[in-house]
Amino acid sequence: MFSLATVSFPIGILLIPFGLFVMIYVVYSLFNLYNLFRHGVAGLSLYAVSFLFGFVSFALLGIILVVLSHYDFNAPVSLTGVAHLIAPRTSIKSL
Amino acid sequence: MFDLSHLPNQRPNETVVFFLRPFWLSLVSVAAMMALLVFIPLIAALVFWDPLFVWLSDPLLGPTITVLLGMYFLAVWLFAFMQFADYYLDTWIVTTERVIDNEQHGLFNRTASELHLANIQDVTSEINGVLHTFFNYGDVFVQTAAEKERFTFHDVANPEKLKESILKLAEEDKRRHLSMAEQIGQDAL
Repeated sequence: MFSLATVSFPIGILLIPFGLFVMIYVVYSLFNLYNLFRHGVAGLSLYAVSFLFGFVSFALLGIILVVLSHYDFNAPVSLTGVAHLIAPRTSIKSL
Repeated sequence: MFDLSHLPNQRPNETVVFFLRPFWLSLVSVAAMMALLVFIPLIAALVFWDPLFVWLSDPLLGPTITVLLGMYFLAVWLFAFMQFADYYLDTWIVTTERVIDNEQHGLFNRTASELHLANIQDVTSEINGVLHTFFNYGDVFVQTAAEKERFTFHDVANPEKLKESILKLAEEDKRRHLSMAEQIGQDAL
């Protein structure tokens, strides 16, 4: 018999919204850099700020990926586990 | 990217007198807001380190929190960069011939306009507020004869001095145009 409690999914599903967010981040960053280099006045500060932005962006992404690499994204998570997270004292049956 | 020594549609003998951006304090207020947005979660994480450590050890909650926090910090950093671009691309250039106004509004909206100094009728400066008065920055409004809409220099340093300089440049430009017209008239006779 089908039971909601038996439904499970890999945690890797979390990486889909994160990947979409990173794509949007890259597109917005490139548009911003395009605006700066297309309409900005040539000068050292422009290059310095663009380099700083790129450096911090890569550093942030690197840190996030290093932290995420410690988790097992193939591990299945059942709906019971999710329900437990939402309301620790309830079970999937009572939801 | 443009060079101040090679302006678009530059006239012969036209030189840049002022190159202006909004006063640095407007950028500092954005930086302070960004610092708050970064440090509040970090301080909260330090204060609630024990429960956070337990949550991060959870096979489901750990990656969820990491992904959400990562997205949050990336968003704050991108927002800061966009605010900087907004500040950096708002420029006003006053030359011996014209005033060029470049304004960036967000990522996809940009306004570029210019007016000739000879068309200037009135220039007004306004310093409004405690910080503006203390640091001596404010708005300068340039009213032209040709257009109803005013040119506005937002939050520029020394607005009084800038107003005087623009008026002086406009007078010089009018005198130059008048003498040129007289010269052409004499040559025609």
